[in-house]
Amino acid sequence: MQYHIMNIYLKKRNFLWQKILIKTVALFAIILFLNIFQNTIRNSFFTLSSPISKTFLQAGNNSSELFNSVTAFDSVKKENNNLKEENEILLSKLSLLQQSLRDNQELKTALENTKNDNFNIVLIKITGLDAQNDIVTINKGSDDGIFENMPLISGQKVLYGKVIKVYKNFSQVILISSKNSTVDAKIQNNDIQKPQIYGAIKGTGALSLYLDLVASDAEIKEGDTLVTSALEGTFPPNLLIGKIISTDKNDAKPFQTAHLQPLFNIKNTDTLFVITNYKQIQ
Amino acid sequence: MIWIKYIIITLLFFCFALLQNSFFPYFNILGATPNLVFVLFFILIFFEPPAQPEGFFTAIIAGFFYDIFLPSFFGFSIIAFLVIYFLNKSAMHFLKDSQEKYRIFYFIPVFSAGFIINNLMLYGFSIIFRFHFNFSPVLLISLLYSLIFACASFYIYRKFNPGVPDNQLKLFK
Repeated sequence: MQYHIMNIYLKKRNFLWQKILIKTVALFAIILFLNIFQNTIRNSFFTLSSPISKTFLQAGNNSSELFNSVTAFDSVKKENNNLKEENEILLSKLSLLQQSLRDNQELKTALENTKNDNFNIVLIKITGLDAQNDIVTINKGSDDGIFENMPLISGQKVLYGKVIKVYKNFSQVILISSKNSTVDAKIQNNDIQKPQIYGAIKGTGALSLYLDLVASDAEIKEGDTLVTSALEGTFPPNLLIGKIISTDKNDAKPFQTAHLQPLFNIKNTDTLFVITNYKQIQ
Repeated sequence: MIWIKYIIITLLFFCFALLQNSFFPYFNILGATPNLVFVLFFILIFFEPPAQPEGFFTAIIAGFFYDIFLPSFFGFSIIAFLVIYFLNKSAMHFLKDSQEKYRIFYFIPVFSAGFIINNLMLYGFSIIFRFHFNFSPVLLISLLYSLIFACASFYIYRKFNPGVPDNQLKLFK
């Protein structure tokens, strides 16, 4: 009797080990398969989900605007008057413009703004936004000539970030507001007599920025505009970054810092441009 | 007809992953968004019937939809979710049949622990395999944000699945 119970116990234990072994092998096979075909899988996923993502993005944008207007009672009346005026202007424009025309206009603006720089630019659409990690997904990939480290800008030459991962038809872009991002910058200066003031723009996450590593004797003030200096070689010079909203100068510190108002507006933008030939120009 | 259940679970993860990355960024709090994929995964494993364990499948699907948005290899989230599944299963050992009304008080700390472990593991992987993963105090806001959805999902799941196992903490016996 005791032998019989022991036998059942051993059989059960063997069965359990077999089950664990099969599951472990299956797990490794799945992970291996996913990684071998990761580019195809990700590309297919983004292609399939793109229309749904766009719908969700649009819905999120509309709902957040509605939500904000409900919560901001104080400014609603004033904003309402402004919106009425704006609405009249926009309605007349919107009735005339279609999506393709808007894209053409954007492209035209971008080409005009960048004609002196000899940039080749590719028009892209934002299809996803990971605000927590400051990463956006765009609808162009290696098939469209996109490669890693290419800069992402708006038609008005505002810097958004750089490409960090490229798939066949999609790419992921890290915004300059990411905690992992540092961009060499300088104060936009029209007076050639004045010395250039250089610094580093660092992301603080949540779509915000600050200026660091500015020499303590440099004169920076509220309202100054920051542009790229191109010292690090990833971004072309003179792309717009942000405006100083407050400075923090402390004699005990070797450098001064400043809080910035970024010029990029990722939530209200869906058309941007990737510069595809900056490294070649260099 | 069990395959219909698997298809529904997969479609739910697909929708939740897209909502998380397309809709909720507009409702971020200091940059934090709810982790809906984790919420769905945890609800499914928390209420998993002991007679039909599906945690292995759930962890792989949840991990897949989490990994697809990470700029790195596949597998990190799958492994993290599997670890959380087994930890949750071990924690279930301490449950005994008891009063229904206290179950949420067990769910909240276990969910929070799972959330933190998941992010810690992904942060560890991001250091080893050098990919971008934001590990900051914002994750605590994300946890609180996710908890709102988790608690709502908890009661919704219970309402539509009255036959879920009614396990309780020994503490409340």
